[in-house]
Amino acid sequence: MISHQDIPALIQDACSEHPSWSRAAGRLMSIAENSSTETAHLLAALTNAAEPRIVLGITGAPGSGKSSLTNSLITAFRQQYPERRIGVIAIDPSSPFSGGALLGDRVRMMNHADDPLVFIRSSATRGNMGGITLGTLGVLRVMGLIGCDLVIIETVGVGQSEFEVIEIADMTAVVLAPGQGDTIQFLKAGLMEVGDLFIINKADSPDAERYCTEVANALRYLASAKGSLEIVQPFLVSARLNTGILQLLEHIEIFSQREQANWLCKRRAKMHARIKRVIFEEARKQIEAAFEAIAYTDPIDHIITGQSTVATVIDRLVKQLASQIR
Amino acid sequence: MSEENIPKRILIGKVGLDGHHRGAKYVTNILRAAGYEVIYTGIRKSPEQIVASAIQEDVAMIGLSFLSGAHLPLFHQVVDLLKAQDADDIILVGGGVIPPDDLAALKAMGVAEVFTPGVADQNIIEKVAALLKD
Ligand SMILES: Nc1nc2c(ncn2[C@@H]2O[C@H](COP(=O)(O)OP(=O)(O)OP(=O)(O)O)[C@@H](O)[C@H]2O)c(=O)[nH]1
Ligand SMILES: [Mg+2]
Repeated sequence: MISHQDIPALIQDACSEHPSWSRAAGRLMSIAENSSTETAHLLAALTNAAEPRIVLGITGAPGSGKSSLTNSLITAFRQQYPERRIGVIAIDPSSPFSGGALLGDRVRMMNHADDPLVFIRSSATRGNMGGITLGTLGVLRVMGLIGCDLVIIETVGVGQSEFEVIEIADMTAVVLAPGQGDTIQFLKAGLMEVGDLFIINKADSPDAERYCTEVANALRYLASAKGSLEIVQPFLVSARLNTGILQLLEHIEIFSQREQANWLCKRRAKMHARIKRVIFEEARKQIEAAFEAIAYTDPIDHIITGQSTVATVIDRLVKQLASQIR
Repeated sequence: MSEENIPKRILIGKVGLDGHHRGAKYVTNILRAAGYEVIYTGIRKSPEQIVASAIQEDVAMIGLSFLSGAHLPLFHQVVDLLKAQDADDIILVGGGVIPPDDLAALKAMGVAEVFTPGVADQNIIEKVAALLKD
């Protein structure tokens, strides 16, 4: 098992020209995924490291084409900026039964596997509801370390992940596809609120045009309900035929240039919120473990027999718990 | 998450030109059900693509399936590429139709285990677990 003792050496290796650089980067990402305490060391060591210029979150219903679209975006990005590196973090759910996972997003991006300027990392949610953990932040910082200019985070848009991805990404794209439920469902699912841009994929399929109009109407309706003047137009693309992808990339670039000034302080605030959440989660786990350990049948008997009051018992147990937590 | 129940990561893929993937997909599923995080790369991948993926994903094991008969040179390339990138601690296993005569050559190359058709699921799980025990 790798520990934080190895972090400085791995960091040095990961930014070197040595053939083992990608091995070191992969290792650092595992440290981030495997332990939140080690991640704290890693984040501390990377405080001054470069960060990606753009972090793009991609979310949307299963099968809407997020991975295929990511693949198309990689191709377009590599054409547009031949000397820049791009990173992908692809998150898939762990099985609640076995704890295992099938990480199947990469299979759609395999054409880029041996391009040294493309780094793809698949992550499993490992029991975290939203799928995005402090570990994801660590993986993202390592992407920055190795010089990724754009990082795409693909997460499956069910449960809570779409709300978590906006906490870590600078901008979030929601991918929709015709035949994936009507627009009312889409409004209900709350996906509208998380999107900075909306992509209708599978433009090659017959009802794409109609679906796109429906979504555009829904977006206009929502904007006016919120009193917003800015109307967001959905992008109609086909990952299969590679249509609309260059325009999409261009739009991402324009959006980023407009927003970049805000991003840096937003990133700090988001990181702060995320670390606070992790600390609370960690504290809750420790309290739960400590609670299991202390005997509380006795005091309950005392309450039942009237020897002590609920308030005094609670007070004593809280003190006892506090003394047990480091 | 405590260290002992961190799932181990395995890459399953197929190199060479033949297009069958039933075996690889099947093994992917039984490994997932056994608690592994499995990265599936699909069929017809080059040794370069497999090795780069394994390194970026930091897997503990690569499982490659074959039907084409070109397993010896292809495995050889995978082994060389792993060495060149300081990644030869990644355990290599193979599966598929491999003539018994080639087994010794594969093992000499550093392939830890070869699963031929018909081997029981439980057998695969046990051998993989034994190989990944550190
Ligand atoms: N017709 C058409 N099919 C597409 C397009 N893009 C993706 N698909 C198909 O849609 C299916 C799902 O594609 P993925 O890219 O895996 O979708 P995903 O959203 O990443 O899926 P999950 O990660 O499983 O949620 C595949 O069968 C793709 O071939 C497209 O532009 N047109
Ligand atoms: Mg996907």
